[in-house]
Amino acid sequence: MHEKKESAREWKHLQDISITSSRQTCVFHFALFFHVSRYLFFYSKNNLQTKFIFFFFNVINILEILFYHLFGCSHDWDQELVNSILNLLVSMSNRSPELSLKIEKNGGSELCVNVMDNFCDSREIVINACMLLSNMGNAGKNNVIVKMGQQGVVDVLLSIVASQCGDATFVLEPIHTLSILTGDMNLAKNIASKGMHSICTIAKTHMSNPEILASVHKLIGFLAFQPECLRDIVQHDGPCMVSRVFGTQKKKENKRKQKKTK
Amino acid sequence: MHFFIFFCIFYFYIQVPVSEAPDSVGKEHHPMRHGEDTLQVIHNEGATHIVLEAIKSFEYNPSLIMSSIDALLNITEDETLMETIVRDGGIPIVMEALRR
Repeated sequence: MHEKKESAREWKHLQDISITSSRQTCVFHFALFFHVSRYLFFYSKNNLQTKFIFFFFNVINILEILFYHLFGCSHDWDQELVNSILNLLVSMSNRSPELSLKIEKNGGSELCVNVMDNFCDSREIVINACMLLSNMGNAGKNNVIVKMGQQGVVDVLLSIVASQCGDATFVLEPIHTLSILTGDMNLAKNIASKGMHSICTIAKTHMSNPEILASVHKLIGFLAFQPECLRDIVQHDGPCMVSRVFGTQKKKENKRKQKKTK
Repeated sequence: MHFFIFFCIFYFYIQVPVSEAPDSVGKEHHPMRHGEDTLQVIHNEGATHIVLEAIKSFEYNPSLIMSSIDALLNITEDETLMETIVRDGGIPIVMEALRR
């Protein structure tokens, strides 16, 4: 009788666990396998078949946990949860620079880097994290920017920019954040040396998108303030790219004029 | 707890000035309502504190944390309420939720 009550309580506890994150799923599976195998083992002690099931279930679960920790994501955060928290933080940081600084003091920049690293394919998360970083960078000026640089923001942002070159809406906000990070000389040099190629590729692939062209040229303009970056800009056909933009604009104007005269 | 947080979100969207229902059961347990802002009443009743406590204590329940964050997002629409959330230590609690 006591055994039955205990099992009912345990089963209720299992039902109460919300299976939303992957670590919880692992724990749930482990608990389920353990209970099933324990009952089978209890009711037929001398049966070899049940002993095999007991062994099989537990080996599968251990493998599941091992695979999750070795090859799965490094955090068991729920994507939607992360997105909603970032939404709240962005709306707070938009209100005042003091709040942005407070978020930064609580480890905001470090978390943004981790989040972008883990969810680099999620457009919403990357855009929100970039907006938060931009707000913090604008609020704290140079000190915060230097701190962000130490946490490896530039590398993460450049890897996102390089991997999502074709998607203009995805790349727009990271480029804006990069242009804020150029406030520090060392970071500007780093961006120019590591990311100039992907920045120019974006400009070349989105020649007809004025929004992305404006933000790319703003970034190149900020980089050009540092004399050390000029070599990288020239090496990657920066001036040629600017003249090409002017060329396409002139062609468009000429076409318009021709249409008007007709 | 879920119900309470959904209630907060729901009432924020309605935004009707609060007045006492004629056959209200809880009439004796709170001060008289005189058409105050719904959001203000929710805050006065200690909703923000409860929501922050929920985020802090139910660390392994992402759905509850998400609902709480949604409620906070609605409450922070009001400038003064946002200040009180920040004063109550809302930012470290939210950051901690992201860190888990």
